[in-house]
Amino acid sequence: MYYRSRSIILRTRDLRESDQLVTVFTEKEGKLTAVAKGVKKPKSSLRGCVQPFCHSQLFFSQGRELDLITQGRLIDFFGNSREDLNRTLYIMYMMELLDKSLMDKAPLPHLYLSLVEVLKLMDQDGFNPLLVRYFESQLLTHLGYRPVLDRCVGCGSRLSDHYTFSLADGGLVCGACPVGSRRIDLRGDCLALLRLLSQGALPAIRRVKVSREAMRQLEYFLELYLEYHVERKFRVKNTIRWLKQAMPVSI
Amino acid sequence: MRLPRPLEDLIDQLQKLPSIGPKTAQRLALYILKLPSEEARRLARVIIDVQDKVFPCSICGNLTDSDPCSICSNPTRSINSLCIVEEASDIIPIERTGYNGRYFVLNRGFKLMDDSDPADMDVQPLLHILNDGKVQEVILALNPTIDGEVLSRFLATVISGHNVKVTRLAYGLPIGGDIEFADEITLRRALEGRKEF
Ligand SMILES: [Zn+2]
Ligand SMILES: [Zn+2]
Repeated sequence: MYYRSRSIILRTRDLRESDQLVTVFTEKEGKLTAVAKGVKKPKSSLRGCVQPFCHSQLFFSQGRELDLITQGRLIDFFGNSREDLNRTLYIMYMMELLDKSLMDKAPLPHLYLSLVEVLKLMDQDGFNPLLVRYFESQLLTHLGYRPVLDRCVGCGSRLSDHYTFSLADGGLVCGACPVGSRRIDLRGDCLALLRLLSQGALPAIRRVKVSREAMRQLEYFLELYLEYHVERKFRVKNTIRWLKQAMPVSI
Repeated sequence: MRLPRPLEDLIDQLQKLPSIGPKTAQRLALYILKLPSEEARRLARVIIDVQDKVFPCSICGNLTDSDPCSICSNPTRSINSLCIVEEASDIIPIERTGYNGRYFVLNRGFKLMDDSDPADMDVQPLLHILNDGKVQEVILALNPTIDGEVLSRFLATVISGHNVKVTRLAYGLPIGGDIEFADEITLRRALEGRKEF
């Protein structure tokens, strides 16, 4: 059985001598891991299309345990981002998010398209942290954790002045409803930004100007919320933090 | 059928080796079983020896059985240039090019997505070499992958406090390859690194 799909390469791992295991997010099949044979040989024609965060049309053949990548054609390798350490690192963080949170072979074509769009914009416009936040919020939505921000997640009533965000319930909770222990304060610019992100209006998101503080709060909120529901720690982000300290001029 | 216990143990151990599957492990185990006794003993001995007698050079990290290694203790090799590689096995192909400087072996890669942190990287031995003031150029010869790239940038920052030139291997097309089949990333970088002809 053969199939093909446009794919974004999430990560590669060495297998035997010149083979690699390649984890990809495909448009049609969702996330999957397949073998790329001979890809570390200098003459391999596949190598150029199975590097992390390449956008490629890949051809697969179904195997007994693992599928095989038989052919590939590069669509875009996002060369500007690839030359820029900061963009490379944040894109690798998005690859890690997908690798750790998606189920195998569960198609999410809309999320796939959002990812491609974010990668394109990042390549064209340069680094914009809001694009990363937008992608995180898209991921949450497609995983079924879109935060409820327009009413109380407990009783459905309109929100007055007293509310807080419950990580477990995935939404704002009014003053009258019980809140679990995992709560976080969410208001002001940060809440407005989050609402904008969850509406998914990318053109508006690209134009919006955000204060440092609101951006920091938004990043913190999304990190907590993602880690709470995906139940994984994301390594690349810690590495980025560490590198920023170790080499403040470069990043 | 159950195999005799010692044979099964050997198969289990062989299977842990990279790129050895259960069938190959079984074939190798049966082969070892049929070896003349002296050969089998020699094999066992060299396995123990390699663990006991080979260690990283205290100066450069290259694998050696005498400290400092043969490269570090060779007076005809230039100390002006220092080539940084990920693994000791990377030295072999670079040696074939006729490179006559010294090396620094990191003895570990760096994987953004795995449990490896550049914070665990021990750069003290590297700084120790640079503090001598004899090195004029550091050549970064890490793998041309995203991980290698990030690590190169990190090392360049670490080195930047010292008064040395930092260079990185150029990207290019493999000899005997066909431009038509070259991947776009390599081609783009080869174009950027083109030389006057
Ligand atoms: Zn309520
Ligand atoms: Zn040495």
